[in-house]
Amino acid sequence: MMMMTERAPARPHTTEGSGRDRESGAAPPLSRAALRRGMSALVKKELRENWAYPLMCWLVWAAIAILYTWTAGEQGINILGSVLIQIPTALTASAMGLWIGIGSTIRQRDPDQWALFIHRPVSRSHLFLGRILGGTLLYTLALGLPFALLLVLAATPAGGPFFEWHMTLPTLADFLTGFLCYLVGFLIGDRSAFILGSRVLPVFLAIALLYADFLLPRFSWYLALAALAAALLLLANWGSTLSRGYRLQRATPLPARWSLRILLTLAFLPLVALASLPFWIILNGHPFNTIGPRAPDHTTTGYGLTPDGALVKRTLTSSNGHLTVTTTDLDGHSIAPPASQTLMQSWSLAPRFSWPTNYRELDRQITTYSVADPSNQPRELWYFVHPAGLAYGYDAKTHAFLGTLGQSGFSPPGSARPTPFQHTEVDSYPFTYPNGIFQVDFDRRTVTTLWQPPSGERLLQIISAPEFLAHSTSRGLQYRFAWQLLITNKSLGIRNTETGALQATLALQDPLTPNTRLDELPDDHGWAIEDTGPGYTVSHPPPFTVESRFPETFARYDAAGRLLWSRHLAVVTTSAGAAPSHDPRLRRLQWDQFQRGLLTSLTLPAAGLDPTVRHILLTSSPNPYFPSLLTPWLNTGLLLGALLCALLTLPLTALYRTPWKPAWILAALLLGPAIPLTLLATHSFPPPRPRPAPNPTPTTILT
Amino acid sequence: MVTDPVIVVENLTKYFGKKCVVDHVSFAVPRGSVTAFLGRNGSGKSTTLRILLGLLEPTLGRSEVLGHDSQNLPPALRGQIGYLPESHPVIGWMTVDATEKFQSAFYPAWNREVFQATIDHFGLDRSAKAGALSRGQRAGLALACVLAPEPELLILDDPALGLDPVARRALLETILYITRSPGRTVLLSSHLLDDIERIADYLLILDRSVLRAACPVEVFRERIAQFQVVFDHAPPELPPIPGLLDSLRVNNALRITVANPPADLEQTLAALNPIEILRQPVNFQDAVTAYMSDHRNRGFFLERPASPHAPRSAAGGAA
Repeated sequence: MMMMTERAPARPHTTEGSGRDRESGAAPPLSRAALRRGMSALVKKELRENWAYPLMCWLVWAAIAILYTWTAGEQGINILGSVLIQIPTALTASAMGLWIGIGSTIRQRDPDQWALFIHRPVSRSHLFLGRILGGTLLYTLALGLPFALLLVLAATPAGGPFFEWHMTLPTLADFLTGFLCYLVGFLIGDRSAFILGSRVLPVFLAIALLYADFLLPRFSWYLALAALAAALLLLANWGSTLSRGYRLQRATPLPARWSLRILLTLAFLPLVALASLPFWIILNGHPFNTIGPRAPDHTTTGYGLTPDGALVKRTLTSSNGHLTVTTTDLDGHSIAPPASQTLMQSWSLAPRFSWPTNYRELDRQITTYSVADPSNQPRELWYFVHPAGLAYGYDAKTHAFLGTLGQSGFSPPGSARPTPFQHTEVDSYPFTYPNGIFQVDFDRRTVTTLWQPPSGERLLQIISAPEFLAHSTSRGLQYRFAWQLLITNKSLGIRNTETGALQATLALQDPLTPNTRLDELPDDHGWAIEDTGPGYTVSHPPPFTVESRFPETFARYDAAGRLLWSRHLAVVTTSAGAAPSHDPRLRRLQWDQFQRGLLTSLTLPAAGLDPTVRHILLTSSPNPYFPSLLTPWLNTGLLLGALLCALLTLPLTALYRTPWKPAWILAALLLGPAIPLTLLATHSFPPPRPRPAPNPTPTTILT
Repeated sequence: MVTDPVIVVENLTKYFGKKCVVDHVSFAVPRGSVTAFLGRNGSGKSTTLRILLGLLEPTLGRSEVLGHDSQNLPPALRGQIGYLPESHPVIGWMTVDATEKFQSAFYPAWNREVFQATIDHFGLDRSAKAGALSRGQRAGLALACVLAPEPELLILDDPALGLDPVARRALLETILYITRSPGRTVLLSSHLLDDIERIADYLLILDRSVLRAACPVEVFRERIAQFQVVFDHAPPELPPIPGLLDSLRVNNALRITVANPPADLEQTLAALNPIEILRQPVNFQDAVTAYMSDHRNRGFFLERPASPHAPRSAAGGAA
């Protein structure tokens, strides 16, 4: 004992200026400089501790680069537009982000390691900030470096002849996605929760963010989403660091708590959606469900074009479940039934809803035109940038800039750029814009105006009716556009492409009558055309029932072969209306085309079934059957299900002491299993129980 | 009643699920003391220490450390509390030197001499990686990191756990050095009663989550009494004795250990008609062991003869 005491090191002197006022017990807070020094040490530690992640990331990117070089990429397209680069960019960014997030935090899962990290004279918020800064730097090092190299490469001729800054947006979005995934990984690694429970749930967030990265059409939309997600994730991670300990239940700041709840609920949504699917189907019906009452009375108006260029008006009236189709000329005079069979083109005046072009689809933003030399080798590459309304020409071999083509014509390098085409493109072939139809000859570098709408009108839609002339395997499809249907904001005109003259015009009263559902095209098999007695019925057995109890009927004809109503029906028209429009062989062929995705046109070989067939078009009119409403059985089932969900919610609200209990019960009645599942997802499970009384104290020696 | 306490704990209770780990514990640790925190494995010592550091939240009750609620310790105050967890955590990839650099960045009052003296004492090479150190060396490094900021309060959670005798001695010497500093308080949890006896001046004993002793070591010693009661025949059954901790029969003698011996204990024993009643000094280790022991079902292991040739006899039954 004495020996040990003697060997104990002598008390050394404290470093100068480091003394504390032990008498008063006051501890001065860390100075700004000391705090900065501590944070710097923390960031360096994070970087040093996780150096392997960037290394791994660089190795992965080296492999991608080798793969890209090996496959020689895609000719004529900038490297950033290549699928071989875009998909690995997004996938590696999100996977690496998630990996770095989990890997850099999971090291401190041991309580003593956590205590070593957390027990120092710095607030937990500062420690969190240091870790996040370190992790962000690490992620930037891992992903930012290869991405920066990629962007630099893309901006040089080696990356492709044509480069514009907006091409980098997908890569930037991927980088952001990766950062968000890093934050998700941080939450998974850092948060004290059951690993197979809510702790791993944010993985679904990472998947959802990756989807959003690809799905959202505008970069600004994604930027807004990323900002929101980053804010929520940072708050939730902050709360996690503040409350983490040995299953610490410490109250976290309210914003952090709510952020975590929101994130977990969002991550839980896929499961909730799955659980609520039966309810949704019962409530809303599904496309193949034809049980239930018929649609209420309605009238739909459409227009048709005959092969000789005449416009006809078709009106479908539904009354008491019966449909009447009336075909008249534009003055309202009845037309004999054969006229309606020889419709060359039929269309509905419905607004076309289309999801905006995704900013990462560079091939849709930029159309590449190649001008070939006599040996059929590309001589010039022209990049028509749709958002800019300009085409930029490059030499295919030297990548030298040749000049710019715009609406006002060609402009060589060094001179002022031509007037661009308008921003909103109506169609890409021919070059159609609200202010006219243009013919662009890249070989001669000329722009010709084919047609311009009258003053005060804007071209909204152009429909070209092709006439197929011949089919040659060497030269491809040969056809000409006999007619062009031009729809402006005020009128509808038929333009003869040979003469360029407008053959007929129609003033439109209501150009936005919704009567089409072109977005619901069938893409599966099993079509059948049945002769159902007095008329034809085109039907499709639903995929879920073997017995085909509820066949979906798509079109019905009367005994004379006239179309009564249709839904997603390809109408076969003939050159002169002489051939039968509903030849069974043609119909079968037509359905084959449906199945192959060739929806709007069909060319028949010389030995084809019917040489008079000119065109097959897709048309649509509303299905007289609405999606099902509720039957008594379904009503009962729904009611019982809702009650069951409410009964499940009731004890959960009591156990979790949830405020606004009636609101939760009401929500369970309306939304079904989503509510109890949400309660389970956002609270600890099993719920806390009342504590038993303390043990009796035995003999004690207390002073 | 402890005056000028550094740590005050009131009714502290902690449940993990259904299991009560700390059960309504109240105590105070005097300033400048070396307080030993004793108890069997799983008695709740580490949990209590973690609650004191704000690493764990109590289910019930409160605790104050250096005058602040331990659940809301200001960061600067944490700098005045040195904490050494029982696994002696270090950052494995760092060298001893890098560890010092990293840790010292957070402590303006980092005392390099103390750090150097400690690692020298444990024979550490500055260029050695912490992850490659032996258990004892790692303990030395962790202790150096705890001591170098010169904390006002040191909380050491079983620092000698898993250490070999040499490392243990080095650790003990270091702790002895710590105790030289006036005003510095040490709260030390350990199972090494020899060491505790040398350095501790205040005692806390947790037994199955319940605090059973909170007093100076001398008081504890005084309150534990041991009697040798010798008979000329086989010892009779003992009457109920309040505070009886242990009774051991050796041939015709009974050795009785009692906590808080009642004033009439000797009269009670005299009523058994012994030849002799001797009050014996009890050593600290026996006193603590007896105090913390669970007396159930140990008869078999206590059944030992007084001499190699003596007949085996049944153990004296506990009250």
